[in-house]
Amino acid sequence: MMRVLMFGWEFPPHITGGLGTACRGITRGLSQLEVEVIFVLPKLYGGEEHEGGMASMVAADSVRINSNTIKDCMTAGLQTDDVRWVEVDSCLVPYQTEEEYYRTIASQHTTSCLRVDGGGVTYGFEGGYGADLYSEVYRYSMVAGQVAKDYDFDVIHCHDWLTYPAGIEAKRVSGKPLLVHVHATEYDRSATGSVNPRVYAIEKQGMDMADGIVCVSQWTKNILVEKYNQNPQKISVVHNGIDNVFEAKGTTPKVYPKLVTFLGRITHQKGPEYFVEAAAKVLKKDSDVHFVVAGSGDMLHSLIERVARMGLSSRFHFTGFLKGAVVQRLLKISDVYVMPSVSEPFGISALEAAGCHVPLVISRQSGVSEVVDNALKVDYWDTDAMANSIYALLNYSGLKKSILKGSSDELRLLTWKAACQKLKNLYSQLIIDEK
Amino acid sequence: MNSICLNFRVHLPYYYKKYHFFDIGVNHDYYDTLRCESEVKRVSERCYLPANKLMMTLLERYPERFSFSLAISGTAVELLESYAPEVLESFKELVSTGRVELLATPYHHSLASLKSSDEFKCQINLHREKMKEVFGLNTTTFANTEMVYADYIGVILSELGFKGVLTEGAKHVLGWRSPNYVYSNPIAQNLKILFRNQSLSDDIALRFTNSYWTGYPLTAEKFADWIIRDPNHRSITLAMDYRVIGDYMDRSSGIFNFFEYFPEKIQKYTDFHFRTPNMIFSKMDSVSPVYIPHEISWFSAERDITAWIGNDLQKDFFKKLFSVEEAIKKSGDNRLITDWRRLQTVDNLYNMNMRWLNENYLGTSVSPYDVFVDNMNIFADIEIRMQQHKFLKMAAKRRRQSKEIAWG
Repeated sequence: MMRVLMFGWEFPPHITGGLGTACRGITRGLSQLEVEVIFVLPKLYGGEEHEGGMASMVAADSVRINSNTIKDCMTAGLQTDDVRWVEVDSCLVPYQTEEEYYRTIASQHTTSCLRVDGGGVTYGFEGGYGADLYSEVYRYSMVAGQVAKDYDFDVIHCHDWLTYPAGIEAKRVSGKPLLVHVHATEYDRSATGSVNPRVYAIEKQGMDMADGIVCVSQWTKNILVEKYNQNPQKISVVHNGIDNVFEAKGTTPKVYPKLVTFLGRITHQKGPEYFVEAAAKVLKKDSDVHFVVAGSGDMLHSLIERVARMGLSSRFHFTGFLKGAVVQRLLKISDVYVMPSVSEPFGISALEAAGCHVPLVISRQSGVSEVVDNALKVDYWDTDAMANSIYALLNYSGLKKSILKGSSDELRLLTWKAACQKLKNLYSQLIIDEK
Repeated sequence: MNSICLNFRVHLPYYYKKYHFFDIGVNHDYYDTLRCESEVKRVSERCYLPANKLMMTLLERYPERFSFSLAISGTAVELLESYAPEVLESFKELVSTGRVELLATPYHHSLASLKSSDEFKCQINLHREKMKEVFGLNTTTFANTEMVYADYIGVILSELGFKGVLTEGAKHVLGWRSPNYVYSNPIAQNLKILFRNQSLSDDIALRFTNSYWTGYPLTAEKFADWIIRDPNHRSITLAMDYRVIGDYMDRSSGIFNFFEYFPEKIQKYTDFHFRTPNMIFSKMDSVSPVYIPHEISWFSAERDITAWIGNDLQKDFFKKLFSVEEAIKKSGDNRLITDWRRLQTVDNLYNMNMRWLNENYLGTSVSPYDVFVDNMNIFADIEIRMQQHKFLKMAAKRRRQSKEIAWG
């Protein structure tokens, strides 16, 4: 049986974005295909929703590391010229939400990263996306080396830049093939153009060192080729899937007959300002539509002000960051789901919305638009088209009906199992190439 | 005759729960009653009870010379009725001496005067009735929420039969004129205006505990001396929130001692009396009309209304709130109307202020954006309740009509 050593950064229910959801889907899917997964996380919070079976969870903060391993790490490849690890006290952090920011501030005085007992040490991890992210990524890679020694496996699979150094270290220690999985790039996150060079360097190093690269869409593959100078032959596209279980625990009565939902981090990448522009245009035609902005992020406050300035506050509802069952409660009362992302590697949340029978308006600059045909697709900057699509879905029931029917057929094929079958084939290929 | 006119505002707001989007249309209970209760009790213990006791002592000690006025908001009376009836009793005792004047003010401590004269009048009438019911007194002088005033507000007040109004002695309005005289409204000339002496009032209300201030520490003797030195000391109007005594300024600052010995020190100059606005209006005539085309208030360096209606959030909320006025009143649902009026309470607007992100007087660090989102959610719920009323009424009307047709 095939065994995979997998490095992740977050796992449901403790998530801030699509990455954790994807990791759950992949571990579940692989379990169904008789692939054993050793999933390493910085920290287990308890209640991680993995279904026993083939996957086992390892928390990096409970791995005991020999002092030899540390010395080994220090002297070996990690401190290369390409990537240098320097601890700084402030940094730009992807995925950081307000809540986390405050949590980080609150925890800053209590973090102790090193626990020494007996002959070895264990590292403490904050998890999440705190201010000390870079040194956590580095410490995580040190632990990875130890994990690679402790466990037996055939292939290494790591998710997004936070875990690339860990994957590289595991590869160095074990000599096993490395597969990096690109769920998002720094170019997506900083859609305004100010790419964080440290993150870019880590991403590029991970891709260069990898034996194979998986990315979640053709959109992302193009970025990898164009911006990261990767060989297209080395990159495989594996679109995300969706689990067909939607059982929201509570229900919310439908108060507004016409509710349009945006769900995502309130950052430039997700295009919330285009949503507001389009909403204003819809409201000119139909003043009885209500819009929900669910999420948190660096643009939230300016967005609230913008809405107030336009005099639309009574039609907009800001809920803050939502997760788990609450998201489904919201989707169940929504009439249209809009994903106006400026650059979206995939956009798992759109599939979740479609799974809750909400028709989609999605930007063409997204991975999900490659796999879903039964949705209205617009360019993120074309707010006229976006408003037109929203209005049409709200008012023309025939359109809504046919889109929903079509998308539910499409969803049935977009399973994690199908995605994982592709992954499994890739693993086999890598293992054969290695031999 | 030389007078000192001492006025206190007594106001407590309702506190709101976190009101989420998912509550809209489902949950109509907006108030954080536990917080309301604890705030009322805390303020009562720190300020209202000991301050009332002190004022009672002074009224007894100087039966000829001491008096003052109170502007008690309707919401404060309601909250005291619910959570601290003993405090309300002590206010009644003060008023029953006959030397404490009650000022008229909008019931819900609202800024309706800026938007809707109809709602403004409603709130004044509600307040008049409440004062009559609780204290058995009629009010003749008006002090608007946060001392907000302009010429057009004066005209409305004159229509309502008020003798005079209390407002801020804003320097940009008075110019070279001293605030220590009685003035009048240029349009409704029978309405007298008493201006708050800005610097002397703020010496107590703002600077009393400021150790960097050259006047620190402020003693009753020093303060009395300053008043006498003012060449225009005809009628000094001091106005502040009652909570200055013991709450904003802690007991340890000596604020209680200051007020206790202030009448004694000023008594050295025998021609000084403490008089209420009503007493002053009946003794002094207006020296001149004062034009106030733009709204003034007693707050912030600008003495304008931008602390409450300044940024985009506040403007939009305020506009939205009054856009439904007519429909809300038509509903005839008193609970709904009250919930709507409570949203007008100026504290809600103040908490959306961004100029002093860390010093809003709720004493919490709630972000103005969160306050705005919560308030808009509550407003959304109120709108839904309003529409439900409309539908019910329409249905009832239709039923009546069809019956009439059936009966021929």
